[in-house]
Amino acid sequence: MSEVFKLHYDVDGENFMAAGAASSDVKRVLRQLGIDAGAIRKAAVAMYEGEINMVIHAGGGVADITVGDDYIEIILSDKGPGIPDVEKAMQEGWSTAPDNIRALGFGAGMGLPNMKKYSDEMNIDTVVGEGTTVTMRINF
Amino acid sequence: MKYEKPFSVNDLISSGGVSALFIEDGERLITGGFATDLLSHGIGNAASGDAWLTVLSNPNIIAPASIADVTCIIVCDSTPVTDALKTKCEAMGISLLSTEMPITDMSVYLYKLQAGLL
Repeated sequence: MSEVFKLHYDVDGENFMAAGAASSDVKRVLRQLGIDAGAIRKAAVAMYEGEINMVIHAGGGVADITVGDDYIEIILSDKGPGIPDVEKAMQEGWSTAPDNIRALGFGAGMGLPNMKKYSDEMNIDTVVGEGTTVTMRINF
Repeated sequence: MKYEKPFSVNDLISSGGVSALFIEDGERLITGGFATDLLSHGIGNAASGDAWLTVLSNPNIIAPASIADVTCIIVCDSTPVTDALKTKCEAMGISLLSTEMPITDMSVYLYKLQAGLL
């Protein structure tokens, strides 16, 4: 299978007002590429949640998107604190976001569950004190 | 919920229940409604064409609203709307409305409007 398109974003961990900008841009580009609307929504939602997690918990990171003939792969990497208990983090409603973040509408404890729900495959590679890499794949 | 008889943003404004703060496409239909103040709840569950009812008034709602492809955001319960929110709605092309009604009342209002009960 030939790779047809790649995107790269540096996600700023200091700017909450820009949080979600990379995901919105990915949606725009996928539309321009004529990707199936359902796959675009899945990719944009999954990436949005990962992007927000990097902003809230990891001080930012990088996002690499590959669009293939029949898939979208999203790799989100950060050098944040890592996730001590992935199983607990995957539980809907579980969140470690501080109150000031929750007041903005974040921290519902639905980010990772949404990422799993909206991607066809998801892998979390995390090391406490070193960082986290999340790989998600959406097939279409 | 999905509405049996969708109505346009202009129809909603004409009904008098909301104030228009920014209109991207007044003829676009509102085909359903979803109410939440949790961004992940909204992006994960609001459908394309919905009106998103909220009391949030910070610009962070725009990215999930855009990705969910809602028709408009309705800021309820007389929540003050910031210039930053209006500016970002204009930049991202999301219609922005406000109302004095609490979210529950606005939900009922939208239901009545689509059912022809107003």
